[in-house]
Amino acid sequence: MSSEHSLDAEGKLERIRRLGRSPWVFHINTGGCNGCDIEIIDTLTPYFDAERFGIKRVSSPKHADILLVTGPVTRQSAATLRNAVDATPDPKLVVAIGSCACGGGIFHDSFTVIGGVDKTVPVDVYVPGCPPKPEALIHGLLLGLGKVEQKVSRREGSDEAGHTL
Amino acid sequence: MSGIIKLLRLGIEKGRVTYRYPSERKPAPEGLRGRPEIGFDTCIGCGACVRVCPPNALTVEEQEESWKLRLFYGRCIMCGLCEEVCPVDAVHFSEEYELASTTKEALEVELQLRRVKCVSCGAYFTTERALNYTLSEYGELSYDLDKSLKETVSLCPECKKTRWGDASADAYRRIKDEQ
Repeated sequence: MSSEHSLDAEGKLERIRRLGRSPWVFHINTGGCNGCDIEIIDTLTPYFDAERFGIKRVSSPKHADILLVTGPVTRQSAATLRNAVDATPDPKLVVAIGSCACGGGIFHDSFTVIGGVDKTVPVDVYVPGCPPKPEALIHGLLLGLGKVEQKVSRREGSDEAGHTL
Repeated sequence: MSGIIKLLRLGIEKGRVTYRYPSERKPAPEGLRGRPEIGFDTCIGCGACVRVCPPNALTVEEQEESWKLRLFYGRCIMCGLCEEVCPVDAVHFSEEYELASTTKEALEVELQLRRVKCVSCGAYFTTERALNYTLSEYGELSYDLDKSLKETVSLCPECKKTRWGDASADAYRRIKDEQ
């Protein structure tokens, strides 16, 4: 990982907000089952229409501001992913889409899989789901762009109150 | 040119199709499995869901006095197996699907339950709630065992083994003596 990734989340978000133009996305599949990829295509169709937010798919990471990563990172694809992230100009967002990209998913203990995307490159937004709904995907992208609030938070519980044998 | 006219006519006929997601929000489709939720008040800590979870999104950390259930739904594939096996219906999939988060910690759920000691050897072996559940489920059975049921379920597997072994050895000896 090069030093340009060491931006803190807050500073990065501020820079993304001050981008002043449409955020373009580049989609990279690092070894998933194509379920999440189909949802990404769904998000770009006129029904969900991600272009309302200026979100447009481009063919090279050099043109992109946001990287959409789907699938668990396999040993073969780790170097490619690193290259793609390095080629993306700053400020950039790396969005892990689907349970595989967030934490390895169903493939997490396979010998060919390194794990989630965060084990290879720093991730800014996690969008869990198998696959996430297009709405969830739009929500994730807007969360990265600082336009909506995060809806989930850590939950903890215990049986300390009551219950006696 | 005629193609454009055709397209325009189609556009006028169909009207707007776009679902303006963040400003308008349709209800989730029926049967959608969204965010998995664990009932903190109902979970007994039997661990059935942990055994059945295909991506190991549910894990258990057993310490001396506590039993910790961890759910990391950044790995959950929403298959619904845990909901199916849960004996007390503590797991349930909500309709909440906007799970995007900027941190991994926000995707975790943690439940800590107390464990109980074996009445014979004093080793911690199961959760208090699981023991209560066993008593409430089998307490109504009219066996001879009924008198000592509470004592029997309050034994750890090792002590149960020894006790049953001793009991059957005694019975065997008795039969031998009678012959």
